[in-house]
Amino acid sequence: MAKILIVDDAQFMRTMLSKLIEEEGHEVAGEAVNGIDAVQKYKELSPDMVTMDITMPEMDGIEAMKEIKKVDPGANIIVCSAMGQKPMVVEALEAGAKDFIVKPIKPKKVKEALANILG
Amino acid sequence: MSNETKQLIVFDLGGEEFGVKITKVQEIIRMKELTQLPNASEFMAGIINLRGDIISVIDLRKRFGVEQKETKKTRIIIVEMDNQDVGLIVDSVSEVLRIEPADIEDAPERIAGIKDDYLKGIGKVDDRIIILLDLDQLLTTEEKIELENASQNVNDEDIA
Amino acid sequence: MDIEEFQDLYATEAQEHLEILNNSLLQLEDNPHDLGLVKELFRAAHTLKGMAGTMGFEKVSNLTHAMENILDKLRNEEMAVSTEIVNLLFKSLDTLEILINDGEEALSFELEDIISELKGYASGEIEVSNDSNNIDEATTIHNFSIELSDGEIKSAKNKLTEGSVVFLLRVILEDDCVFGALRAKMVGDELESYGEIVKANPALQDIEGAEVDSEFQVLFISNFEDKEILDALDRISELKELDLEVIDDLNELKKAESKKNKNSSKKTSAKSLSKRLKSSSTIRVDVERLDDLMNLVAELVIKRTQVESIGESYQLDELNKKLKSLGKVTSELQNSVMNMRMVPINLVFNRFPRMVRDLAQEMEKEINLEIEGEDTELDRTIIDEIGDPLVHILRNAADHGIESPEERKKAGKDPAGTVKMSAFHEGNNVIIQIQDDGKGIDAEFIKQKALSKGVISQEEAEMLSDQETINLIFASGFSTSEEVSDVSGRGVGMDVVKNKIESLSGSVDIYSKVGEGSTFTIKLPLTLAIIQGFLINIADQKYVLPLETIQEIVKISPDDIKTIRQQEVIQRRGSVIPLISLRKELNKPEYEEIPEELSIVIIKIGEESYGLSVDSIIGQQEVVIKRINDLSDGVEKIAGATILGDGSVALIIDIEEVTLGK
Repeated sequence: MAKILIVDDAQFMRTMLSKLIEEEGHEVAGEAVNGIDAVQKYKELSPDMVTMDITMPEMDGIEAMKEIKKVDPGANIIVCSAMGQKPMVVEALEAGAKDFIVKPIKPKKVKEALANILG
Repeated sequence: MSNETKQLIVFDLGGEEFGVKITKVQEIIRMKELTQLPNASEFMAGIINLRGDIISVIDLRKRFGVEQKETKKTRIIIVEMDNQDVGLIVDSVSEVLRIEPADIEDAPERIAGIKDDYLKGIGKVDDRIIILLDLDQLLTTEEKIELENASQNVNDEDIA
Repeated sequence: MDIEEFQDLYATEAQEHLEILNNSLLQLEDNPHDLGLVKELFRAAHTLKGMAGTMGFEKVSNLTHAMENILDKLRNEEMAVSTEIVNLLFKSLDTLEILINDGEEALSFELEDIISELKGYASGEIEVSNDSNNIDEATTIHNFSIELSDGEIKSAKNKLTEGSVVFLLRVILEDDCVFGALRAKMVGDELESYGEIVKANPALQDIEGAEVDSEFQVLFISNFEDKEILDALDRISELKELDLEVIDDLNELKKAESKKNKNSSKKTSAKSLSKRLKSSSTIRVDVERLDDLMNLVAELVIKRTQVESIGESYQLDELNKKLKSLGKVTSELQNSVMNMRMVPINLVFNRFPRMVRDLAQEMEKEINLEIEGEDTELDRTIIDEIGDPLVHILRNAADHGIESPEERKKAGKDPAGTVKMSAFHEGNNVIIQIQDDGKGIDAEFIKQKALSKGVISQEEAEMLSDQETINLIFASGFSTSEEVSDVSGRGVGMDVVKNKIESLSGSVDIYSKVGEGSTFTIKLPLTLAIIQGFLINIADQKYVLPLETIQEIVKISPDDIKTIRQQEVIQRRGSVIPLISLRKELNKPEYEEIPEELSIVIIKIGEESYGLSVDSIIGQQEVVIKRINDLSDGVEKIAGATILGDGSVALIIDIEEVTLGK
C-alpha cells in the first residue's frame, strides 16, 4: 500500500481519483488544490506518489513538479493533462514526470499508471 | 397625429390614391407568383418567397372590391404589420410624397361603407386626395371595404 | 474473414489517401523539387495499392501500381517533375476517384489509356530493364518500416562493441492511447539508458510535431539482456505489445523488413481504422438514425405550434404558460439534434483547390486560391446543397473576375490573381465569402444589360444605386457573360445560385468595386428545421407530405372506389380504408375528366391507414419548414411552407387535420 497525494483544482477529479486509488488498495495521503498547496503538502506528507493536474490556479502543475523535484529528486509524479496539452506533457516528461494520463480519465489508464510506478 | 412632415408611399387602387407611412414600408417588389392557401380568408392572395422568407400577401384590390387586373405596373408593397412582414397587392406605386400635417384632415366620422378604423385621415396635396391607411386596422375585420362609395362620399363632401 | 465487411473501412481510408494524393500533387506543382512530397505521393499510392489488392480491386490496384512506377522514378530523381507529369498524375487521380467512388465497373477503356500512358512515361524517359514488377519488390518505404542506407549501416556497425547487439523493437500502442508520440518519446528515453538508438520510425526527434498512429519501431544497440530491456519498457503505460528482436546482420534488415511489411500492410491499415472508430468520447451514428430523430423533433415542433394556436384562440392562460416552458424544451431539443448534424465545411471546400487549378490552366490565367475557416461547421444538409452554388460563384470569379496575366500587369497588379474563400460564424449564421481581386463588376454595364433584357424599367434604372444594380445579376433571366464561355456559361445563371441559397434559408450579396474585385457574401443559418418530405402535385400546385407517414403509393382505377355511409373507401390488403380527395380538402376544383388511373398515397397515422388521392407524384426531398404568417386564422390543413430548389413555394400538408373525422 502506497501513500498518494492528489493535486487537482477540481473537486470532481479529486473525488474520482481518490476512489480509484482506494480501489487499488492504496491510501490517499492528502489532497491539494493548487501548485503551492501541492508543494506544501508534499513536504508535510512525503507521499510515495503524486497525481498532478497541469492547469491550476496559483502555481501550475509543471512548476509545482519542478519545486517538488528540488526537494525530492526521486519523487514519483504522474501528470494529468487535457487533450490539447501535448506540449505541456512533453515539458513535464522532460522535467521528470514518470507518466501521464489524459483527461477525460479512464479508470483503466489510472490503474495501469499506478501499477507501473508502484510495482 | 404628430406635427412633423410625413413621408408617404402613394399607391393606386382602382383609380384612387392611397398613402401609407414610409416607415412602415419595407420594400416594393414586382408581382410574383403566388402560392395560394386553401381555406384561407378571401383577402389572402397567398404566400410568396421573398429571399427565402415566406411572406403572406393580402390582395388589397379584393379588400376594397376593385377589379383584379394584372398589368406591368402591379406591385406588392411589403409592409410591417403587427411585427410581421406582409405583402399588399396594389395596382401601381406612384411616388414618395411629403405631406405637411396641416394638409391632413381627420377622416370624416363615418363614411358610408368604409369604417373609419382603416382611415387615418385624408391628405390633400394640390388638388389630389390621398386616403391615408392605418395598416394595423386593415385586418381586424372580415368585412369588405366598399371603396367606390367611400371615395364617392369623400369627393361629395369635398365639393360641398 | 469476410472481406465484404471491410468495404466501408476501405472506402473511408481510400478517401483519405485520395485526399493526400490530391493535396500533395497540388503542392508538388508549386514545389516541383520537393522530394518529400513525391515520397508522400508514393506512400499514398502504395498504401492504396495494398488496400485495393487486399480487397480484390484489380483496376485500382493496377492504376496505383502504374502511378507508383512514375513516382518511383521521380523519387529517385531519374525523372524530373514537369507539368506534363503532374497533369498525367492528376488525370490518374481523377480516374482513381471514379474507380473508388463509383466502383470498379465504372470505366474500362479510359483506364487502359491512362495506364499505358503512365507506363509510356515510366519507360520512355529512361530505359527500364523491362521488369516493372521489380519496382514492387524494391519498394520498402512504408509507414512503419526502418530502412537503412549503406552509410547508416556502416556507422551502426562501428558502434557495435564486444557483447552488444542490434535490437529491433516494435511497439503497438493501445487503441485509445491519446498522445502516441509521447509514449514513443518515453520509450526512446528509456532505451537511451540501455544503449544507443540507431534509427526510429517515426524519428523520435520530431515527435512533438508528428503523431504516432498505433505502432512505431526503434532500432538500437545495447549490451543488456532483452529481458531487462523489456521489463523496463513494461513500466511505460499504454503499450499494448512489445516485440524485441535481435538483428544478427544489419545488411539483412532491409530485405527482412520489406517482406514483413508486405504482410503487415493490411494489418496496420485495419488497425488505424479501428482505432479511429474507437475514438475515446465519440460514437458513430448512422445518418439515417439522426434523420429519424430529427424528423420526430420537427414533428414535435409542428405539433407544439398547433397546440399553441389552440391555446391562443381560446385564451387558455394556464395552458399558454405551460406551453411556453414546453416550447423552450422543444427548442433546446431541436438545437441539440441539429448540433449532432454539424460537419466541417471542409467537406465542400476540399475539392476547390483542384478545381481552381484546372480552371486557371484551362483559361491560361494564374489564380491562387486561399482558403480560410475550413473547420467551420454547418448542418449536413446545407453542406450537401451548398457545393453547387459555391462552384458556380468560384467559376464566375475565375472566368469573369480574374483577368489574364497580361491585363493584370497592365493594370499594375500582380499577374497572379487571388481568390479567397473563407467561412466563419457570425451569431446564428455561417458566412461564406468568396473574394477575388479581379476586375470587379461595372454597375453601368449591368444597368444597360438589365434594361436591354427588360429586367428593369428606365425609371427603375434611374432609382437604383450601384450596389442595387450589381445585385441585379441575381435577377432571373440575367447573365453578364458577353459570350457564353465553356466555363461559366453553362446555361445556369446567378439566379439559380440565389434560389438555391434562399431555399436553404440563406441570402447572398455582392460587393464589387471596378478594378479592385468582387466579394460574394453568403449568409446561411447554422441549422434548419428540416423534414424528409414527399412532393406531390395537386391541381398544378406542389405540396409536401411528411415522408414518415407514407406507407406506399398505389395506382387504382376509379371503379375501385366504393362508398360506405357517404365516405369513399378503397380496399387494400383485405381491409377497407377511407379515401380522401386532396383536391376536395384543399378547396381545389374536382377533375373535369376523371382519369383512368388514380395515384393514391397510403398513409398511416397511429393505427389508422388512409388513402390520399393526388394528381401525381414528384418524389422524395428534404425540405426546410417555414412558418406561414397566419393573418386571418384561415390557414387550415396546412402545417407550413417550404421553398423548393427553383425558388417556388410548396405547402406542407397537415396530415392530421386532413384526416380528421374520416
